[in-house]
Amino acid sequence: MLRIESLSTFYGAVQALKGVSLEVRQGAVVSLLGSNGAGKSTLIRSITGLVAPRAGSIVFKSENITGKSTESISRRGIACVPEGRHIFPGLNVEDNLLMGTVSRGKLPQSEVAENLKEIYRIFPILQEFKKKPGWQLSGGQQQMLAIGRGLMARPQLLLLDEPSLGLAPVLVQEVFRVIRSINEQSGTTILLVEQNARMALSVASRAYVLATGQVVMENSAEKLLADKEMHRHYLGGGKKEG
Amino acid sequence: MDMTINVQLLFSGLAMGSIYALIALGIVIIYRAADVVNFAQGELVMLPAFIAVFLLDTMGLPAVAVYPLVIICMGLVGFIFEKVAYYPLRNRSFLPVIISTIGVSIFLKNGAQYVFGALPQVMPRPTDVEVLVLGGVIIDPQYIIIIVSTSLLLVAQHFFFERTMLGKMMQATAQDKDAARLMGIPIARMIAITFIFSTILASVAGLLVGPLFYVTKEMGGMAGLKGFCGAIIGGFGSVTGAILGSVFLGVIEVYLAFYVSSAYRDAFAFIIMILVLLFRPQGILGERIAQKA
Ligand SMILES: Nc1ncnc2c1ncn2[C@@H]1O[C@H](COP(=O)(O)OP(=O)(O)OP(=O)(O)O)[C@@H](O)[C@H]1O
Ligand SMILES: [Mg+2]
Repeated sequence: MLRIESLSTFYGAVQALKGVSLEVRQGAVVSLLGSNGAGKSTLIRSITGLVAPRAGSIVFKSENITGKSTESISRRGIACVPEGRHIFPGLNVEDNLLMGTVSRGKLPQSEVAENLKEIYRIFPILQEFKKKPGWQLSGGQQQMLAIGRGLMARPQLLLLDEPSLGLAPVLVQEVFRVIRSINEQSGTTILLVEQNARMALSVASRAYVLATGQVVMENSAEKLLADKEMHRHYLGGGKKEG
Repeated sequence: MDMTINVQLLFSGLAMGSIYALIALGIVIIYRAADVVNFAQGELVMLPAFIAVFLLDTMGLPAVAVYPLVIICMGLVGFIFEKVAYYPLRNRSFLPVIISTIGVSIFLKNGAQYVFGALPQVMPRPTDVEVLVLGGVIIDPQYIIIIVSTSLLLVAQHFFFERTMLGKMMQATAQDKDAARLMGIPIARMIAITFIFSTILASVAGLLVGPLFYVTKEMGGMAGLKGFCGAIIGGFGSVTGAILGSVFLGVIEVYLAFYVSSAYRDAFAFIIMILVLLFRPQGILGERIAQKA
């Protein structure tokens, strides 16, 4: 569904991605791991067109989308829950969710209402706060809103950039439960960026590990969970992360 | 006796405040959508006034036809303005765009003089009623027209931004451009619509204030500055603040001019603005924006 080949992206003179190749099969959950500054978000921003890669290609459903505008990429069925949530602070919860549907073009009211109901079923707290402006939500609520907004796009491919960042452990569990159910129930393909490797590998079938802009490991989740290198660097020697 | 004068002053203050509010609002929504402080906003008040005088006087068209026509023309001006002064510079820093709006302001001033001549002109009033007497108070009917039209327009604008999908998409664009792009919102189009909308607000101000003073190429300069003052007093960047700050400015200015000194009328606006900047730099509603960011 998504195939990235030898992608290189620069910020000015700094090369953040150095020839990254990666594949996400239809219906899969693939995780992208790596420590701070490894280039994970840069990869996501390259896929969504927020930064322009200098070399390499991104092919989505056999169409080359490299260098296309962010707007048009989102209309092709790729939704993104960006790092740092980026919800609209001045719009209320429901309007934030509505913005998620823009990429689908004009929709009948009934369909939008149906979609909203579904999001509220997944995240009841959003229904309770639906008239609250975004900036008044707590971090965890904002994260749920960002995920809900991504789901309102009914994407074929959902990109999640560190959805568990800064959340309390209970909420982290909750977010991963939702990610798994999105994938299982609607068959949405997911590319999940995480620093929380153990959690990520528990939902993903495959994972890539990035370090300083390069893929340093790639394998099935099972193999990576058993991998010695992986344990030493990313799974904290078996210690649970907070 | 004092009471009647005070009521008269209040109406005149509210009318001027309404005009400032329309200008301030235009400045603020462009600032929020495009991070541009538009120094040509005043000239977007002056130009429609000249066009209206031309259509009403020289062409002899009726007001009902002229007002919509001017607004449509100005919508087009707003569109061109965005394409010429903002769009090519959209990825540059703050300064080049500001300089470009100053350029547009100079161009429009000189263009107006070239096309419409250097003499001050008089815009015919939309009504033949000379004065209104409300409970013993004599009021200029144009004040009522200004206050009522502005209120209706503000209500319509509120409805547009809060209730329609397009309005919400424009808000989203103003609040977080990258996120808006990720949603598939065509942000270039949203910004163009914002410029058109803001130009239309300024032209309504021009049409409304035109009959009160002479229409000159310089009228936009002071109008634009008062709009800025209103926006700053209210808390620069806040829409509600721009409205409240402007109305406050309009009213206080009229009272100070009457009771203190009419010669310093325009100076009062800046004195108030400086006082606000000294004692409450975030403006009347500044806190809300700080929380928003
Ligand atoms: N806007 C930018 N301008 C310049 N350099 C940047 C910019 N954004 C990121 N970088 C650099 O690019 C590299 C990759 O950053 P990126 O944000 O992709 O990492 P990441 O893996 O997402 O990290 P984190 O886990 O902290 O989110 C880093 O060295 C970072 O400093
Ligand atoms: Mg990141």
